[in-house]
Amino acid sequence: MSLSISTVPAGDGTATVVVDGEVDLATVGQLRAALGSAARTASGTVLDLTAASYFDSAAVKAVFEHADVLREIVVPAGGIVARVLAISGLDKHVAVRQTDG
Amino acid sequence: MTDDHLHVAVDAEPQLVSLVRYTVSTWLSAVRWPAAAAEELVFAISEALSNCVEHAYRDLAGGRMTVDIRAVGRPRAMHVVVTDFGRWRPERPTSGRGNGLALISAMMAWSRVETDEAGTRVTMCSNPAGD
Repeated sequence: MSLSISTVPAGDGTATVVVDGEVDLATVGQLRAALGSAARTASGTVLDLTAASYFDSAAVKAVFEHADVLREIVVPAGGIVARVLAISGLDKHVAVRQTDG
Repeated sequence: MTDDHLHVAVDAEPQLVSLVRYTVSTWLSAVRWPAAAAEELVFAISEALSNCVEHAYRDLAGGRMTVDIRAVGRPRAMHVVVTDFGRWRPERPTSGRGNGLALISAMMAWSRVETDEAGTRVTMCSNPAGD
């Protein structure tokens, strides 16, 4: 099980939290910490899930906790992560952008 | 393990859920289950196992959880039973905010949860021909 999360600051004061790997019950603490840290230091956060190979309901709960500071969530078009966000209703609270490839 | 049945039993620990995901995914690939349906099945099983870890053994010393998958019928469907032996608490309804059971229900052809003194059994069926 591997998960790597990095936070990339942008010039405009916002930050992008990039998730690479699997987020589930065992690793969701890393996501929660990264989103919390970005919420304190950046003026807005983008969550990049294009390299997230697994993203479950525990991960969705963590994102809901920080939905107010999230500007956008980026996911691969037509993938299971996009479906999970839609079924959970997260796409009603945060803009979800689907990218090709 | 035969061609049409997989049985996995592990301790109900958060870090073991991913191990079961790999095992189930490898088996589904070996029996040539369609990739998109396999991904949904792995997701639903993982959610059911997370429920075991989070709810069933919360006030207990811990325990086991099992997954049984069997190919049934024609056209073939995958029939899954996820079992724990603890005391399960229903998730609070949180209007879909990361509700694992809602995700299971959306991805499977059908699913049901049964709880008694012995534990909880989540039974579900995935039919790639038409959910």
